[in-house]
Amino acid sequence: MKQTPENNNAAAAQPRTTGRTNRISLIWVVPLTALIISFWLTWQHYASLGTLITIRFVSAEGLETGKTAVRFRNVEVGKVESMHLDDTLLQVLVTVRINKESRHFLNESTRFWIERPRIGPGGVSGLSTLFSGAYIAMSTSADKSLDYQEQFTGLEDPPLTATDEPGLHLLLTSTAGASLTTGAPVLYKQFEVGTIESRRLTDDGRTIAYRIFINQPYDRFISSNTRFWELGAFKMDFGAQGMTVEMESLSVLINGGISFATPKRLKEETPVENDSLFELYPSLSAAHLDLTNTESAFGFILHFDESLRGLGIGSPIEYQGVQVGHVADITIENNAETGKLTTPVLIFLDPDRIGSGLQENKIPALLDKAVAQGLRARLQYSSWLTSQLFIELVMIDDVRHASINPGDPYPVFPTIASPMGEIMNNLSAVFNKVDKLPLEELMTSANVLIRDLDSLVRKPAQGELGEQPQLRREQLQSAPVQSLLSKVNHALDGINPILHSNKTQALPAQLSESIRRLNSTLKSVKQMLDGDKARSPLYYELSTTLKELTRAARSVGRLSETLDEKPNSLIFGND
Amino acid sequence: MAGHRQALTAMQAGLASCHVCGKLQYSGADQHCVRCGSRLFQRKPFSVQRSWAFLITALILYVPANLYPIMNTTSLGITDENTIIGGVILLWSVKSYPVAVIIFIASIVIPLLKFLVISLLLFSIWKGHSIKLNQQTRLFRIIEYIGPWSMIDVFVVILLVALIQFGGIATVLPGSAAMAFAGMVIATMLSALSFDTRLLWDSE
Repeated sequence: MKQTPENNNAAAAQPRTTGRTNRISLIWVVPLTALIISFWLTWQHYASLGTLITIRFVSAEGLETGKTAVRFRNVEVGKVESMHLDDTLLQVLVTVRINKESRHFLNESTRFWIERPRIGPGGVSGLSTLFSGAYIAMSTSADKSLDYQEQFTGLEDPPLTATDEPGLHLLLTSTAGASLTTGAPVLYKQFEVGTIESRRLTDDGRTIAYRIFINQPYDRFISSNTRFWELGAFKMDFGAQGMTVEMESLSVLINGGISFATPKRLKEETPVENDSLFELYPSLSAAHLDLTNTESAFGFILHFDESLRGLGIGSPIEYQGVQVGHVADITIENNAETGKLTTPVLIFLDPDRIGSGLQENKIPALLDKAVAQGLRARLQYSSWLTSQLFIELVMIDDVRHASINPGDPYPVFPTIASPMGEIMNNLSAVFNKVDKLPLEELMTSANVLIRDLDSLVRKPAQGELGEQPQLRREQLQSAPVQSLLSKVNHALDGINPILHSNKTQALPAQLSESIRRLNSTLKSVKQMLDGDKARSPLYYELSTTLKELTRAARSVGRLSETLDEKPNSLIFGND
Repeated sequence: MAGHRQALTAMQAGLASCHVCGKLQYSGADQHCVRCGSRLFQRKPFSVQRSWAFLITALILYVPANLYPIMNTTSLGITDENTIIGGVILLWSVKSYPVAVIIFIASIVIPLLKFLVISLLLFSIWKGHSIKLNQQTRLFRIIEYIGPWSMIDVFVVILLVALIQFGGIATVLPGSAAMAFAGMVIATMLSALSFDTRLLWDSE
């Protein structure tokens, strides 16, 4: 191919130069290429080796050197290179090589845990690792501002929410027992919107602190007015409507759960920041929540000067016995101007009830008109026994003019004092007067009087018994007796006006009148009982009732005898 | 040495045999075979250089062929990467001695042997021989004959890859060393092929 001309011309003369020319063959490109490719591959291998990081775990169960992968969202980002025990023998140091392209995800927020098959109350997870073996899972956030880190401590359990999952972290404190487990759901209108991430006993041992996470779109339902409560699995009620049993979902039954609501309240609503603190109420009733839908309702504020004891959240607002709304909130407010504490009540009127057939936007005008004609709100007892209060809307004809005053955030509805409030006021005035009477002085003087009279009466009696048969004149004239007599006189002087007063004079007449009436009553009773027995309806009814009773008693007796002899007759009959 | 053989060689007689059809003819200025028309050489051109080049290529490829895994076995999600020597050790440890020995010989000993023999022959052309000529020729014949058997490892990998494809349960994929190993075997074969044994006789 490239033989030199000399070779051809003098092939026989120079045989040894054939095939061994000093020129370089093109074939050397082959090993050169191989060399270049090898170097390039080696360089690439070392360049893409990635960083070594150390993760501390309590146990390296299921991890294998050179095999166990590190995965982030199931994408392999690294591999376990080696494992050692640390000096204290308490932990395992796992050295992991993280791929170069994933290196910048390592930061303070990065968390590692070993993914193994787990069966928990929240379900089964990591089933795939049953076959593939455990792997180290990673969770991190792409936040560039976080510091780079190469030393990590592995978590024992997988975190319930990814590091960078959008949402809201909140802290709830509960004085009740820790009946909720981590992983239990946070429900909003029975819809799962988050989870309990962790729970711990606070340092002072008084409360349980739960850390919960609310997922992104639902965190807007949380404001400063939100109240959280524990969901009970069972709820039983005995009431006038019979027994009602309510049961939450099975998952709540096992893990417990937390629910929350954000009712409209008098307090201003402010958005909530991460890690805000809330109280966790043990139950819905303890949370004192108004869960009625108030979206379209008309809110008003009422100011009462009376005690609101017996008025609760959810108490009805009635107009002539028809419920038109409910109480949503009661607070204590400090009036900035007067410095007095007031108790504003937030009520909501149901537009369907007040303006039936009317368009909703016409209802305020209707209410304005009604108030101008005398519609007022007042407190009323729903039952005198339990002193439960409700708010009554009532038309008062003769009343001072008032109107609905616009206010922030709700307009103020005019109120009047309740009728029983007046009664109470009058009664207390009477009692005050009674209280002021000098009763004690009166009693002491009466006491003195009686004692003196007593001694006066006893002395002659003693004489009669024989020791001193005769009352001596000297004795009568002695100082004590004199004083006694004067006191008696004095007392009689006091009694006299009472006896001579008109009312006292009238007493005998009234007494005789009463006695006369009593007499006639007794007479008619006697007639009823003694007289024509057959014709008296009362007597007849009584006697029939008695007869029936006797018969009933007799059959009860018979029944008990039968039962005594043959208890199964209740089921199998008396054969 | 020259005293042993006084036979006239074709080259000395100005003859050359066609590399393609074997026709012995005078290697004139024409340089083409009178019968088949292919190019006519006294000796394979650049034989030593080619041989060296392929030998060096094979040596370079020998490194990754042994360092990288030749086969990736994935069974139930667990991926195992086997290098040639790792596989041999594994087979030895599970007491499959015959198989371990076969693979060891075919994949490690034979290539090494080829490197040694070819470089020995090339050295002897360059520096003058130290071993008897017919022994050298016999060595070369052996090398040429067993050369393709080094491919046994590559065949095993190809067979396994073709047979074991059960998705998640078991999958075998060729590793990066498989290519290097195949390349190494081909390079050694080319090296042997480029070697013109007649050069040994020329150096006589």
